[in-house]
Amino acid sequence: MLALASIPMMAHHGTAASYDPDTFVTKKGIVTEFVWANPHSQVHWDVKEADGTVVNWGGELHSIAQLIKNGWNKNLIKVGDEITVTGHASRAGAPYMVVTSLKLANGKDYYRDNTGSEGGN
Amino acid sequence: MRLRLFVVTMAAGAVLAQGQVKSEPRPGVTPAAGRGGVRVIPPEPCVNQWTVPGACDIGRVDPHDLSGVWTRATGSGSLGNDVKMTPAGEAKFMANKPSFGPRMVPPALGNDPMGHCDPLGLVRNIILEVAGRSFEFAQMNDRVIQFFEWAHQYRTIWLDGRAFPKDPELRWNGYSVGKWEGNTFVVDTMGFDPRTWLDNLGHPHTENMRVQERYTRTDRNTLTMTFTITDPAYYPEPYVSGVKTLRLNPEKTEEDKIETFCVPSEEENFNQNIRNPAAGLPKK
Repeated sequence: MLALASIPMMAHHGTAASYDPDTFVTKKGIVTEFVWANPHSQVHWDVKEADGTVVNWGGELHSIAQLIKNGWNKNLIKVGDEITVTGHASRAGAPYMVVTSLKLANGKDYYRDNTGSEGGN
Repeated sequence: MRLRLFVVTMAAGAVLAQGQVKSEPRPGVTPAAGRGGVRVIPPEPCVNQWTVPGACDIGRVDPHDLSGVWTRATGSGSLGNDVKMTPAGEAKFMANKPSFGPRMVPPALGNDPMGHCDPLGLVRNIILEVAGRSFEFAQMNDRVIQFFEWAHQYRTIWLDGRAFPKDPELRWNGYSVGKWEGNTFVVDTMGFDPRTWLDNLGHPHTENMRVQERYTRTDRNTLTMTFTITDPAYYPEPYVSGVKTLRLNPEKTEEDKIETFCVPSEEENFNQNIRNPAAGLPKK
């Protein structure tokens, strides 16, 4: 998996302070919002938990330039798409993560950082 | 405004003796060629070799031509964790709550100006901690423009021999004048707005800070730089940076890659919908 880059390289302001670089979480669900923006993009998706409750998760993504460099595009996902997202979990225990990889329903993976990337934005 | 003693510091290893480097005009390219007098660096013969130190000899370029996008390859992105400060500097430092280093807090609980896309200030821009760690020089006859992409900030470095203003209006990136010492481009800057941080660790400065940068193009693809900060109210002795090495970035010099940008409204949206709730604060 190409996504396991070190946290300190990953963002312009303190990602390691907000997310636990030693913890990965994977959540599958339905996209509710995809924000293509600078200096950070965002993805939000509904996850149906084992007890039947639905939790809306939020994922921190790179800047547009960095995402494009890593193969993403602004039309990659849309509301209603099924996605499986892996990332480092919020240290506060909130349903948020800094995304390290995102799998589409067609099985294709997109990564936050590709090999050779400087990371950061 | 009280002016402080400005200390000139030579950068070890960063200075080429005058006359040591051969400078030859290139066929079809004069020193002042290009749009608006901006010098043009042709892509040949060194294209795709920009990551290889010394791949292209300085004899193929004018060492006084710094035009192009430069990306930092080596050198620290902060002042470090052992900077000596005065009691006043230490107090200000402790009031700054960064999201990097040993004092890091989640950005939602900190006060880093970067978190709202506020101007980074000169030192933080040239330390190049963000945005691919790149800046661009555009040279004109009487000035050099230095552009910092991530924040879309720039500054003018005057080359016409002017003196500093006696009581300058403070600027985010200060007021800069430049000169050549042999093949080293020396830039002195004063008149800083004190609201900026010097680095992502939260080192502060006063409005009386002076900064000297020294840039030397050591081959076609390599630029070295150091800087010295003199601000005795906060730092008992001048801070002298290590040598930072930058490579000419052909992707952005010769092509037109997608921009990076810190957009305040988009950052605020991100803060409200990701950054703050991820830190346990309520989502607005």
